[in-house]
Amino acid sequence: MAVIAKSVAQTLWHCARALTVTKLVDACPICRRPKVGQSEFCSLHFRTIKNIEEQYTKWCKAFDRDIDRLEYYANLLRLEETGNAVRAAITYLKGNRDGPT
Amino acid sequence: MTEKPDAALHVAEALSENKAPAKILVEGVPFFEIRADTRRTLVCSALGHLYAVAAKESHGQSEYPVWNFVWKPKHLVQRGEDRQKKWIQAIAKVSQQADRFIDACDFDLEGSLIGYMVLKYACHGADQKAQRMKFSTLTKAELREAYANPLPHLNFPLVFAGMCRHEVDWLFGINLSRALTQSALKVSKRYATLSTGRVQGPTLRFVVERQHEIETFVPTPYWVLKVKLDVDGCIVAASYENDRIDKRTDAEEVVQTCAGKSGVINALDSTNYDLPPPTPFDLTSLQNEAFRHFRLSPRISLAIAERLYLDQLISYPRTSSQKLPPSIGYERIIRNLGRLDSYQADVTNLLGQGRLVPNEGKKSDPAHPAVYPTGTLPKRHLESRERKLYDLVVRRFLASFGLTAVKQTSKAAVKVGNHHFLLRGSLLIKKGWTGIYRPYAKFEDVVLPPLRVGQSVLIHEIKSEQRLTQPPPHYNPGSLLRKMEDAEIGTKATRAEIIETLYKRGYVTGQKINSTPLASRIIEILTKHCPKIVDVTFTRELEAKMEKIERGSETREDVVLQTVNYLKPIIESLKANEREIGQELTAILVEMREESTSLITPCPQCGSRLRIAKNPRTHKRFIGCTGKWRSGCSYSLPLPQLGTLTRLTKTCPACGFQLIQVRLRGRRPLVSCCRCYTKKALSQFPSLKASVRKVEVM
Repeated sequence: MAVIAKSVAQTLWHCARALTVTKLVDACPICRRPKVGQSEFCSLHFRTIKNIEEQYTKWCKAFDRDIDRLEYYANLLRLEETGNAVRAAITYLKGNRDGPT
Repeated sequence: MTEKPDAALHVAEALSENKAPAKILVEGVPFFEIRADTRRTLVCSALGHLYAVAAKESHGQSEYPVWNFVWKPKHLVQRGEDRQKKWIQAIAKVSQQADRFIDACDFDLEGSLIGYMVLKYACHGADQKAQRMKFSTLTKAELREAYANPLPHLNFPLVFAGMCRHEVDWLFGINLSRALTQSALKVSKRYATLSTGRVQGPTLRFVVERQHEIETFVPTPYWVLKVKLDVDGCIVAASYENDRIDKRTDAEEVVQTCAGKSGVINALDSTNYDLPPPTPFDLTSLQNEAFRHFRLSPRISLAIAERLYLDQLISYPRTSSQKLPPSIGYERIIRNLGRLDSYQADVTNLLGQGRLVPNEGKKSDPAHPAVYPTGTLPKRHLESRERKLYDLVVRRFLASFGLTAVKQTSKAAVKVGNHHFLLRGSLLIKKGWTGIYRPYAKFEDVVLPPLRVGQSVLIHEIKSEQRLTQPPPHYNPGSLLRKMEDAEIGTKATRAEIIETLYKRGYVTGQKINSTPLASRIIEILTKHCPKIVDVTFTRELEAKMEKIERGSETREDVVLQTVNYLKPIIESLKANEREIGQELTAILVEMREESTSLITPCPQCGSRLRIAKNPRTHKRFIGCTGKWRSGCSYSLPLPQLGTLTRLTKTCPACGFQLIQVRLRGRRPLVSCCRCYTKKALSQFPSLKASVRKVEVM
C-alpha cells in the first residue's frame, strides 16, 4: 500500500513539474518572473543585460583593447560592487555563449 | 483634556495652586482633581486616538471597494483596544457634570483631532463650546499662561485637515490593501497581509528603485593619480587636474611624463568662507542628526523626544518649524542650562558675546516653534539614549546662537609640463559655533606650507591607482526620511511610522535598507496596473490640498470626494485583474515561504534541499528532504516542538550542518545542531530511534 502511495505521489510530482515547465516558457530564463514586452527577460534582467552591454564598451575603452567577453564576465563576477542581478545574468549568459537576443 | 495620561498629570500639577492634585479613579480611569475656591476642575486624558475611521456598513474584511465610512470608537474597529472603551465610558460619565470644557491636547493636527473627537462624541457635542489651550512646552509657566488665556474655540481648520488626512489614508489603505490581499488569497487560498497606502506605496517605490539600481549595477574602472609634491623639503599631497581619468593609457602617460620632474606654482588662491550657525531643530532634522550620530531610527528618536517633552526638558518635538520666537526667553533658558556642568563654559562664552539672536531656518510651523530645551533641569536619571538626544538638542540650541565660524581654503596650481596639479588646504580660522556643537560638527584642518607664485616644486611621488565606479548607497532610515521630506510626502509625524510599517510587513530589512522580493513584486504589480498609486505626484497634490484645509481655503468634503473619484477607476482595474495579480503575488509568496523554511545544507543522502516542515497529521515540525517526491528520499531530522526556531547562517563545527536557534520565553536562546543531536540521541536512546524512524516513513 505504501509503495503504491509513494509511486502515485511521484507521478503527481512529475506531472506538476511538467505543467510548471510548460508555463515557464513565458517566463524570464534567469529568474522565472514574467517577461516584459517583446524581450526575452523580465524588466529587471532586461535592464541588467542592457547595463552589461553598455558598460562593456566602457571597459574596452578604459583598457584600450577588445576585451574577451568571458574575461569581462569573470572580472565582473570577481568584483564586490557588481550587483546580484548582474551576477545571475552573467551566469546565464555564460551558459548561452551566443549572447543576449 | 490632554492627549496622554502623563500630560494630564503635568497639566494638573501646573494648575493646582498649593497642594498636589488629587487622583480620582472613575471606572479605573485616572482623573486629576484641582480645587480652587468653589471651583472644581478635573483634568483627564485620552489615550491617543480613541476614535477611528471605519466602513459604514461592514460586509466583512474581504469586501472591496469600500467608499462609505464613519468615525467609530476605536475598540469597535480594531482588536486589542479594550482600554479605550473604558476610557470613553469614564469621560462620557464625568462630562455630564461639566459646565466648561478645555482642550489641552497637543496643538497640532493629530492632537486637535483627538480632542475634537472626544469632545464631540464622548462629551455629547461639547466641541462647539470647548476652549483651546495652546502651548509648546509642559513647563508650569507656559501651561498656566495657556490656561488663563485659552483660545475661545477649537482650531476647526486644523481638526478638519486631520480628519481629512485620516479619511483619505483610510480610503487608500483599505481599498488597495484589500485588493492585494484578496487577489493573493483567492489564488493561493492562504492568507497573507499585503498592504500599501497613499504614502507607503511611493516610499516603498523609492526603496525598490534604489535596490534595482544596486542590483543591476555594473562597475567600470577609472584611474586616479596619487601625487606627492616636495615643497622646499616639505612633502604635501596634491591632486591631478582631473579627479578621474577614464583610460588607463592616459593615466600611465601622465605618470611617465611627470615622474621625477619639477614644476612651478603658477597660481595661488585663498578664500574665506563663512559657516553660519546651524538652524534649530525641526523634527526631521532632529531625526536625521540622531540617526547620523547615534544610529537611532526615526521612530525611536521621536519616541525619546516625546519622553523628554513629557519630562518638561524639551519643547514639543512634532514640529516643522526652524524658528525660535523671543517669547520663549532665550536668556533664561541659556542661563538655566549653564547650571549643568557640561554646558557651563559654552553658556558663559555665549552670554559674553552680547546680543542673543538665533540663526533661524526657513521652515515654519504655525502651531509650534523649533525644538528647544526648556531650561528645566532633568529631575531623574536619564538613560543613555535620552541623555544623548537631550545633549544633541541642547548643543544645537546653544550653537544656533553662536558666532559665525570662518573657514579658510587655499588652492595652489602647479604646472608640470602640460599637466596641472592642485594643492588644497583648509583651516578653521574662527571656531565660532563649532566650539559649542563640537562633538557633532567635525572639521579637519589641512595645513599647507608657505607658498608663493613662481616657487619651484618637485614631483616626489606619482602613481596611478585603478578605482571602480560605486553603486548608489542603500537607503537607511534617516536618508529615507529625508527623501520622503524632499518628495513632500507624509507628515513630520507619520513618516517614521510608515518606515516602520515597511519593516513590519516584511517589505524591507536591515539598517542598510534592502527591499525583499515581495516588495519588488508589489511595486511591479502596482506600476503595471495602477502606476498613479506609486507616483508621488498625486500624494504631493493631496498634501498641498490638506494644507489648504488647514488654512481654510479648501473643504474636507471636496478633498475626500476628489480622492474617491481618483481611486474608483484604479480599484476597478485592480478588481478586473484580480486573478492575474493573485497569480503573480502567489508565486512570490510561495517562493518566499520556501525560502524562509529552506536550509543551506543539502540533504546528505540525495543532495536535494532540506526544509523545515510540519506533519499535516500530527502538526509536529521536522526537517525533511524535498527530494521525497522526486526520488523517494526519506531523510528527516527531528526538531524541538516548543519555541521559535531561527535558522542561523553558521554551520556546526563538528558536522557542517546548518545550526538552528531555539527561543523559549523566559529562557536563554539555545543553539543546536539537529544532525549531531540526532546521532547522539540515536546511539544513546533506542526508544527515540524508533520514533525517528516513524517520521521517516511518513
